[in-house]
Amino acid sequence: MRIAREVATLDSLDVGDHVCWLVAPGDDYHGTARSYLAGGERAGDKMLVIGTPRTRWLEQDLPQGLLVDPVVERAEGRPWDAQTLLGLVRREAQTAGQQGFRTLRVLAQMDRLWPGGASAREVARHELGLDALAACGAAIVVCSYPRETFSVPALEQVAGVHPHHAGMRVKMPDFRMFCVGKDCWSVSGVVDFDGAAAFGTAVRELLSSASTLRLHCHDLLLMDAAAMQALTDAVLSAKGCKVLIEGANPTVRRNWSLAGYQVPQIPVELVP
Amino acid sequence: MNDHVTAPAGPEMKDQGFRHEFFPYQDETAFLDGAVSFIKDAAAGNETVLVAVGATKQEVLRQELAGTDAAESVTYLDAAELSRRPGRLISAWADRITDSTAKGQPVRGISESQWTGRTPGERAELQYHEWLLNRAFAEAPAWWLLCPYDTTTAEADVLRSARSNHPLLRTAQTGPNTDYQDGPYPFPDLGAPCDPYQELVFHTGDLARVRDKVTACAAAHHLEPGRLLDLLAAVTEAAANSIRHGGGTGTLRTWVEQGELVCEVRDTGNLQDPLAGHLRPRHDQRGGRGLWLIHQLCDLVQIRTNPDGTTVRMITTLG
Repeated sequence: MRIAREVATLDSLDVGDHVCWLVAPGDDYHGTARSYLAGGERAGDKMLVIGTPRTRWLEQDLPQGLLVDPVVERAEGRPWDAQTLLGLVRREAQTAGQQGFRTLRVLAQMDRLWPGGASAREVARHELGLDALAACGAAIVVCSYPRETFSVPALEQVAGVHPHHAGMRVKMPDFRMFCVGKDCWSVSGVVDFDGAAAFGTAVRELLSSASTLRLHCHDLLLMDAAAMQALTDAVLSAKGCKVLIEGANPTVRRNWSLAGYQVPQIPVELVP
Repeated sequence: MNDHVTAPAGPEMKDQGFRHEFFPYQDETAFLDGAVSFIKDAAAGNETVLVAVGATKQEVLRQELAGTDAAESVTYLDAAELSRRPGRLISAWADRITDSTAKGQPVRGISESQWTGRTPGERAELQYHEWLLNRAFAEAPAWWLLCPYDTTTAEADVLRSARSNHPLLRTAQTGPNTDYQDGPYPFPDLGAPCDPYQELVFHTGDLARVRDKVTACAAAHHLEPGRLLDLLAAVTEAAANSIRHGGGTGTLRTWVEQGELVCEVRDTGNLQDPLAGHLRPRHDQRGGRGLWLIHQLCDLVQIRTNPDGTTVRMITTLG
């Protein structure tokens, strides 16, 4: 079972890890990235780098590496967006094993995918898809987000939808949401007013592709009134869909009932 | 409220809204005379009767009503529980009134609050909530609440507040209570935090820090994990309210005083509606759940608000 955790470095990641790397100005991006990729080389991983031409050194150092720059791709007339990245990761992850690699190791410089930043919903859609891929053991994925490129709501969304975190510490939502099975997502920590919008966006995104969404809440400590409202808004906006909240603690269960949501009109069920 | 005061007593009152009566008595005979006639009138009108009195009074009422038709119309409630958490008093009555009126039956209640063993804070909040009942049910379907007070045992401040908080007075005949104070309610000061206390100024994005501060204080006093979660949920709601409605910032203070863990959240907002958080939210209601949850999760909640700001104290009994 995957668990949410902070990672001190990128040197000791496991297959299935999906890391949000928040990069502050002045951080040693290249040194950290080199070390991460060198670890992949030692482990026999195939490397996929979404980065700038300035990271051409990676290809020289790592012959099994593949470097793609979405900005260059677009400039040369090839459409390239988050779906393209997801498709590339899926394809390379499938072939990595056939080619004799242990797994696919991805470093995605997200400001090359979204040079002008991204909305919270775009972030949620892309990262939840990437997390579902990583969760089934297809890859190790590190997504680097420079703070100066992305808005606060987008960064809050980023933080909420990665199970693992590295880099600078900033004020971030106190919850983590990540894939633990088909249409089953772990929600851990505290979903409160600070994270309610990001949580609601993630749930809406997941409900766009699943009629029944299971939220595995064994490690969820609290869900406040704003978060409960965000959840009900999300599920009510997805006609015919329902959410199962599994393993919630007594406080979460009681507050859900006290808030008036334990009624047939709200398609959310709290189950053991 | 004058319409209520001048209305005649009896089952024909059923469409007249809320009647809230102060019923001072001096001995058990006087209590029984007043309570039993009230119950029998209700039964004659096919009204539901809810009785929240102490165990001894409950027993004498049961004996007095035994064998009568009126006995069947009475449901006894836990008076101690109703008195223990004043912030839940209004919703407790509202839930029962809703249940009864849904069956087409008007409601009468007898409520003798349990003052013995209450802390000064609990006593002050109970007095306030007795007054707030008048506001809460001003637009409610017909119901009638009789509040007996034993004048030989009740303390002077309790009797004084009872006279101020009830629009009607039951003596030989029910009539207007000339001592009733419609408002504004004269809140007692909360008093200063007890030294030593911890303080944290918080802003947007700081709710985790707020919880960390409360957790540290609770851990030092061995608060049981389940109760800590309840407290964290309550404090999170209060702090989020400060961020949303109190100028985007607030101040948390925590301290322990006489076996109680106190978490206070202050901000510059002004709470306009005294009934906020006192009525059970509907599933389709937007917002308005934070204060409700706070009242449900804490042992005692004290709220003071004025144009300069709002203070919410959330109290959890230790041990």
